[in-house]
Amino acid sequence: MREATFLILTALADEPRHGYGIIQEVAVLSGGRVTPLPGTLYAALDRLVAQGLVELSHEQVIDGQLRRYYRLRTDGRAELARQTERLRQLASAADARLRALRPSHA
Amino acid sequence: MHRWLLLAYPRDYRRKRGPEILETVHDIAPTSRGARVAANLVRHGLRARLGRPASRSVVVWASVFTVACGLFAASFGTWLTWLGSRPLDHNELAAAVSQLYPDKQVSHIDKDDPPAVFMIYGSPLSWSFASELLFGDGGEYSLAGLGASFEQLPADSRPRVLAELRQRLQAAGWDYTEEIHSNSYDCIPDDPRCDPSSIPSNITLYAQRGDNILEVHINADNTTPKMDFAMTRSTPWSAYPAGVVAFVLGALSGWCLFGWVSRRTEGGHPLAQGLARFLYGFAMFLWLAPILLSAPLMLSHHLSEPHLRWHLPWEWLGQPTMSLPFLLGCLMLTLALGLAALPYRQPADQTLAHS
Repeated sequence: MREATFLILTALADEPRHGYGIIQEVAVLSGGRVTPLPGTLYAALDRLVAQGLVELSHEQVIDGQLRRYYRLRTDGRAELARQTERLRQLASAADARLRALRPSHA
Repeated sequence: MHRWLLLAYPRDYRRKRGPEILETVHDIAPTSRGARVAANLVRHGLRARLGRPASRSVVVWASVFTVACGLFAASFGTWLTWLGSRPLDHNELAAAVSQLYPDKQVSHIDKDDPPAVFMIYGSPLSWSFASELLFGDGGEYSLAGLGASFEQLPADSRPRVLAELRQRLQAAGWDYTEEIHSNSYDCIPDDPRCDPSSIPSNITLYAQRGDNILEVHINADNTTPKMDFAMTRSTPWSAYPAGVVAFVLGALSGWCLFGWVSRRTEGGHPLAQGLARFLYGFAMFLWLAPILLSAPLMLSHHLSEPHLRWHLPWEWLGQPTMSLPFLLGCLMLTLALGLAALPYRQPADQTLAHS
């Protein structure tokens, strides 16, 4: 899974968000490193909806502006958990190797 | 402006997603560069239009095919205009030579007009030349010309002949280029017997008057005839707009065709998808390799000496010298089209971008 896709799933983990809300949340989660542009965001959302990981939650029209909110589906939550666990394992393995290297460099 | 950029997306997609995307674009406007957002929308819109929104390379492949189709169509368009150009007239060559050298008798002059605009081995193209055209001799397919020659130089030395020729061309209303000096033959540079300064050289000069181009050769001393003339037609003016229009039409057709095949094969059986990719990739290799080989050589040649007429566009594409790979590429693409035309079941979980 691409990093941007993982971050979008993570952004939707706690509450439904609209497009701009997802972009803002992804930027916060990545420390400003990743800021998806609209074309990229909606292509990813289309893909996630097609895969059954994300769904439309509700729509709002505020001051004539259409807001569509998206939320994680059960499968999306499970996929996010699976990816998180995979990344945790990878991070732990890398961390263990780095710890093992430190004494020899000291 | 972004509303216009949404035109890169398919119409159905625009209807469903357009307002939402525009709102998001509006929201991020204060913090994002407009050009970056625009490029992002066009890129993803074109991917969606080609039926592969998740593909990072589909737009590049479609563009390659589009440009190739445009170039071949432009060549075809200019070829058609050449076929409609004014036929060569042997009387015009006779008049031109006698006007330049009224006091000299030519040893040879063509007295028949060429039967076609383009010839191969002195004859119009016909099925009997199919093997020559396909198996490496396609370069012989070239513009027809008329010739005349002098057995003896019309003056006592080659520099004097050249100086007089320039004066006579100018007096007769011809525009001419700088002369080109070229060796009659080459020798192996490392060979001790090779002395390039001792090799006899030929002099070539091009002149144009109206739609006639006159190529004059003052040959090396050991060559007969000593001086010869070749008359050909200049590029018809209609070739330029015809080339541009044909390029646009060919490119549009190529884009639409690629999009259709891409949409039809996406989501199909993996074997069919793999086969379609292989056929496309191999066809592009067969089409583009001759272009990538020929175009730089032609450009180098074009810049190295004066030209009154651009080389014919298909020669820049390596055609018809490489007509066999071109035809094989066409065959591959036809098979890919056939593969795409096969009936197949649309995936149930179709995304918005596919619709």
